[in-house]
This record gives sequence, C-alpha cells and structure tokens, in this order.
Amino acid sequence: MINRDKVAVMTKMAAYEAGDGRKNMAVCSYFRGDYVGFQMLKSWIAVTIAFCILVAVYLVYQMDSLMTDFYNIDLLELGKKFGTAYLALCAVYLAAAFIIGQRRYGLALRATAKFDKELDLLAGGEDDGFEEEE
Amino acid sequence: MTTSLLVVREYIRNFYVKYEEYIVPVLKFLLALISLLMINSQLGYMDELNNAAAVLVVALICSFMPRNFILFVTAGFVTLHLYEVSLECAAAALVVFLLMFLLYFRFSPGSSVLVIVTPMLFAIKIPYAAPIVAGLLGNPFAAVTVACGVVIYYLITYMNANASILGASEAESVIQRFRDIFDGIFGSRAMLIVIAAFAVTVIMVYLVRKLSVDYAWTIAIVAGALLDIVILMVGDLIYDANFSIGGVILGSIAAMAAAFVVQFFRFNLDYSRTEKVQFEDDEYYYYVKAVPKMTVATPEKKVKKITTQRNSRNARHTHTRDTARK
Repeated sequence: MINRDKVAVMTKMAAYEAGDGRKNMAVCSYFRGDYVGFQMLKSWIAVTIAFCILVAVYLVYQMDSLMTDFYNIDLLELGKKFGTAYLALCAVYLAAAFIIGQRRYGLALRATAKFDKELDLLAGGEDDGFEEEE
Repeated sequence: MTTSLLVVREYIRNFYVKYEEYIVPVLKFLLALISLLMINSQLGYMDELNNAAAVLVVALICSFMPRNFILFVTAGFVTLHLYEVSLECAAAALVVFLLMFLLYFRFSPGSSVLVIVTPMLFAIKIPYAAPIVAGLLGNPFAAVTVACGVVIYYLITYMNANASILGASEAESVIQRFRDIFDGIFGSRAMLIVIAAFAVTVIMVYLVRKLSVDYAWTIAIVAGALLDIVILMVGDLIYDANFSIGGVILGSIAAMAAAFVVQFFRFNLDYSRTEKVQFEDDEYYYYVKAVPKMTVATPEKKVKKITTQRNSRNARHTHTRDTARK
C-alpha cells in the first residue's frame, strides 16, 4: 500500500534534489576552508584582471602627459600609488568573497543537513513516524 | 473593484504556476528580442546583426539559456555594432562591459535582468521606475546594478549621437580618440547625477519598505519617487545638467504607477512551482506531478432566500447529524 505521507516527503525531497539540492551538494563537496579559499582565489584573479584593465585605460588616457614628462615622473611614487590602489581593491573584494563564500557554504550546509535528516527519516520507515496506511 | 482586481491577479498567478515551464522561456525570448531590437535601432551599424533573422535566432537561443546569457549577448551586440564604427569605440565598450562582469556580476549573477531592463525603461521615458522597483524587489546592492544599467544606456546614447564623428576622425591619434570616448561617456554630468539619484533612491526605498509599519511599500514608492525628483532637480541646479522638469515629474508619476503595478503583482516572489519528479523506494517507482495549492479568491456567491421552508431547520439538523456520524 502506498504511504501518502512518505510520498509527500519524498516528492519534496526529489524536487529539492533536482533544484537547489544539486547546487548545494556541489558546494558541500568541498571542505568549508577549501570552498571559501577557492571563491577568494577566483575573486583575486577577477580583481587582478580588472585592475590591469583599469591601469591600461589610465595609461592610455594619460599617455600624452606621461610621454611629455616621462623623465620628470617619479616612477617609484607612481608604482606605490598603483600598488596601494591594487591592495585596497583586493582587500575589499577578498573580504566580500570571504563573507559571501562563508554565507553560501553555511546555507548550503544547513539545507544539506536537513535533506540528510529527512533521508534518514525515510530510511527508518514506519518506526520513525511514517505510519503505513491501511 | 479591488476584489475583481484580486481575482484577476489570482487567475494570472494560477496561469503562471500552471504553465511556468512555457512562460519563462517565452518571457526570456521577449526580453532578448526587445533588447536586441532596441540595440539595433540605436546602433544598427553591422548589417549582419541588424536583420530580423539574426535577432530572432539569437532571441530563440536566449529563451532556453540562463538569464545571464541575455546580458552577454546584448553586450556582444553592442560591441560588434561599435566595431563597425571604429576599433576604439568597440574597445571602450568592451572595457566597460568587462569591468562590470569582473567586478560586479560575478558576485551578483541574478541581477542581469535589471541591467537590461534599466536602459529599456530609459527608452520608454520612465527610467525613474528602475530604482523604485529595484528597491522594492531587491536589496541595497541593486543600486550598483541600476548604476550599471544607467552607464550602459549613456554609453549607447553617446555612441549613437557621435558615431559619425567617432568613425570619421581619422586625423586624430588613437589615444586622442580613446580620450574623447571616455570623456564623452564618463564626463557626462547628467549620467553622474542620475547614477547618484538612482543609487540613493534604491537604498531609501529598500530601507523604507523593510520598516514594520502599515503601508510600508506604498510609503517607500512615494518617498522614493519624491527623493529621486529632489536629487535630480538639485543636481540639475548645481551642475546644470539640463534635465526637463516636466519630463522628470511626469516620468516619476508614471514610474510610481509602474511600481504600484509591480507591488500588486509581486506574486512571483512567493510563488510555488509545479514540480514533476521521479523517484523510487523498495516497492514502487513514483512519477509525481506536485501542483501547489491555490488560494483562488473567487467571488463568493451569495444566495438570498426569498421564501423560507418550514422543514429547512429539521433538514439542516439531520444533515449535521449525518456529517457527525461520518
């Protein structure tokens, strides 16, 4: 005989597994530190590329003045300015990636734990609350 | 009147939930189609892209791809059209898009629709709806999304207005042309004022609608529209950006109307979808279609009794007893 309660729970679980569950399981396949670190690495690469583009645009924009005053430019000072800007940009984005990564991992872990608990409940069968219908 | 509107809303909601798997691709197709047609009407320089067949094929592809794909496609269309004008124009547009993708959309992939819709709202003269709707439906980071949409609109407008000059200025050096383009796009005071006004409006609307007061959403819409008008007018006075006062006020009124419609139909935030799932246990294979329960507010039919029957009370008692026995 089909157990209606069980079918309802299994349907919800199957729907979760087909939707958010797949993403959450992918997230939870990492350790927390690995996942957050990977997100931060991806952010660092993106920020570095973006910074290179910004520097290139700046150099092209200021090309005339740079070429004119090339021998009067304090290259060390310019390098320091770029370095500071790069570090500040990296700090902001890595902090954001850390916070977002931690949050996403926490949410995925919570959802996966709930799914596992329901799975255990189903595996337990009648003894764990699902009564067989007559 | 309100009841009938609620009924209509419920019917639309039911229709959406029932046919969601078809409606979502159709909506994506329409969004891609309209955005690509608008780009072609503004920057139709590349003949290969500026024809109905290309647009239809790309829009069809977009209909079954993720939503972010539409943003990639529109960015590609803009860049390719500008490549026909000059290499510098295409490079400038590519830089702007790359910076947006690398610095913002990587973190907020779900906000691509708002970036596409914001320039569309500019085109239909109600751009002021963008920050209000973003504040109502999103979070404070939507301010960045709306700002990106504003930048894209001003980029397209600038390129459209100056294409002949930018394409013909062979005498100038490449560096000078780059400078002219970046000065033209990012030196626009009007754009900077609009970005500031929209960003503040998004945050204000979000904060007000989160308040636990009656009519928080209505207050947020009205306050957001007024704040938007004030910032635009003050910016216009200080920086002389030549905004049309009548246009801003009428646009804001239309934006408020649009925001009220969104508020009324905001069912898509808490809708549940029809699920078709397959699973098995030790005894059965299950092929289940789970349809969410509806709260259809159909009008109640009132039956007015003109004559009373003598035995009606007895009959009702009998019925109740029968029900209780069951």
